[in-house]
Amino acid sequence: MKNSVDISGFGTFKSTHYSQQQEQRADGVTVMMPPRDAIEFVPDIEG
Amino acid sequence: MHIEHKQFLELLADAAGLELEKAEKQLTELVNEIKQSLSEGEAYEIDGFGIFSSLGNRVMFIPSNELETEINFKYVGMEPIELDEPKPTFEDPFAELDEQDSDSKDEPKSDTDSVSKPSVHKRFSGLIDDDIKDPDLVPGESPGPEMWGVDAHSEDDGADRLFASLMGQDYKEPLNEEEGIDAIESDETDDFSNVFEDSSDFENGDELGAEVAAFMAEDDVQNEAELSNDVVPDDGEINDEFVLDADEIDELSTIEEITDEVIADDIDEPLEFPVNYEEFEEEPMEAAPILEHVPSNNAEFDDPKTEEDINDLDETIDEEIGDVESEAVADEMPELEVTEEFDDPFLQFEGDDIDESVLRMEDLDDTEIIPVIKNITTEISDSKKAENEAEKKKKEKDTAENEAEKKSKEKPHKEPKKRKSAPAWLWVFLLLIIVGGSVVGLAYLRFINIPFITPQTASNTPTVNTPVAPPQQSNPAVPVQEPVANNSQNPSSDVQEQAAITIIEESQTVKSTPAVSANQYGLTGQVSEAGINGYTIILYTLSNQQNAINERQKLLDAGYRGFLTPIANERYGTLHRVSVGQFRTLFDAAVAAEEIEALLPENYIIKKIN
Repeated sequence: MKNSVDISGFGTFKSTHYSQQQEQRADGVTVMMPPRDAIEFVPDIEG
Repeated sequence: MHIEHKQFLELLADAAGLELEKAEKQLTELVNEIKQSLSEGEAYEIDGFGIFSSLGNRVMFIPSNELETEINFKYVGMEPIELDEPKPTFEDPFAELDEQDSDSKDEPKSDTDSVSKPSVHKRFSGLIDDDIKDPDLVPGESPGPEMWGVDAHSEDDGADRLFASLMGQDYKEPLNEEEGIDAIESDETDDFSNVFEDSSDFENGDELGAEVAAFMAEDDVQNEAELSNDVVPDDGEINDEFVLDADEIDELSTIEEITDEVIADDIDEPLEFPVNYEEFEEEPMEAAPILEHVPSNNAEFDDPKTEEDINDLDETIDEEIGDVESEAVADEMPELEVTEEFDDPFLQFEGDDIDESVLRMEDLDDTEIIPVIKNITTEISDSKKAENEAEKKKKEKDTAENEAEKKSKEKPHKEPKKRKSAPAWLWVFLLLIIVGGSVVGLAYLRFINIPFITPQTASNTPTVNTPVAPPQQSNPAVPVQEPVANNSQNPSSDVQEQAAITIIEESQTVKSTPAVSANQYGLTGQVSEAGINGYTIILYTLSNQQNAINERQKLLDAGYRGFLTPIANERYGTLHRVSVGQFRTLFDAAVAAEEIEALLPENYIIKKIN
């Protein structure tokens, strides 16, 4: 797994990259969104 | 990079400066706390890291803003960019027709339809989901140029069908390529056959139809002749493929005859022109000098001319040209004689062939003329100079006269200005005003005694309230009790109203006093009659005459010039005023009052005696 931290018995934190993409707003304007990274958590436990 | 649990504990211990076991213990405690809060249905927030929350059975992690900023430091400064304006929603009015077409197409689509569909798909690729892919496009193969442009264009079968239905015609399905081409060729041949059929009809009786048929036949004959020439090569070898029958050869011979006749008729006239034109061009050198004088007229040149005509034209031109010029040209006269007539000044620069002697004489004549011109100019300049000098003198005279006139004009202007600015009577008037004013001022200040101006008349006015004298209302403070009581009850204005009467009485009393000192004015001494018009210092105004006499006696004992003045009052009867001193001016009285200020009461009055 790439760029991730595993905590046993709890879950895994991993980074996800979102490349730049076009989005259309509610008013119809097309916007080029910049790239970004996000942290996602994959739990080993259940709430 | 993936970090395992063990590696993460080591990193955590190093970063926190803790032992590995302790770090592991704290981490397990943290995880247990999170689990507990999630099991209780609550969220657990780690400051600066994020929030763990449960949604159903799923555990969610929402990173905090600090953490998101930390991991997105690479993209700092990148913000959303607006690409275009909002596009209005487009409603295709022919959408229903397209649907009908698609419904009506039960037959399999032709090859052209399969080409047109991807073009539509690419045109609206932005509006169609990207998952939809070109069915005809082989993966890994990009659409080539044959997919675009003219080759990509094809008539829509549905549109043809629709157009045919609108026109009320039966729709004919397109044929295959070979069938279509054959059909087109057959149609063309049919059309031409119809034409020929018509031409055959014309041959029966109509003349115009006969001519058209003949023309068409000629074209065919020519084409056939060309074909025959191609078939029969020049080297005489005949291919077996193009061997003709005897009947066909006869037809060709008749056709060739007809074409020769037609060609001969067409080029009958043009054939004569080259012959005459060649004759005309054979004598260009003779006609050239004549043509220089002949006006250009294409009509004349177009007409073919013989040598006789040209000679006639030359003669007529010679007659039209002048005798002198023609003779000069004919006899070839020397150029110098000709130049004399024109008197060309630049002739001397043309060449060395000219006779120098003749030129020198002419040059001398020219040089003689040039100084004459110079002399004329100099004379003109001298005369002009003389005229200029005369004009200058005139101008100087005029200027002198003008200056004199100006001076003469300025002088009378200046004199009245002086008179106006300082007239003598004004100065006298001003002096009189100054003198009169000064006299009045002196009189008012009593340096000069002028009736009606000096303050003697003005002294009768109630000038009692001098800066030195206190007000009369303070009279009740006088030691004598009776007049004080009277004065407190009576207003001071009543006392002042009867001042004139009291003054008369005072004058009588003064007169009655036997002691008359030699000094007219003074603080001490005896009361004088001459000083009755002066000023005095009033100490008391008493109603009891005895008290007044006692106060007067005190003053007299002290050596001061004291006297009594009775003042009649309607309300309080006769009042007795105790005064000291006789002074010529008010100023003298004030000075004397300051000297005996200790003896005087606070409310003393300086007043004129009469």
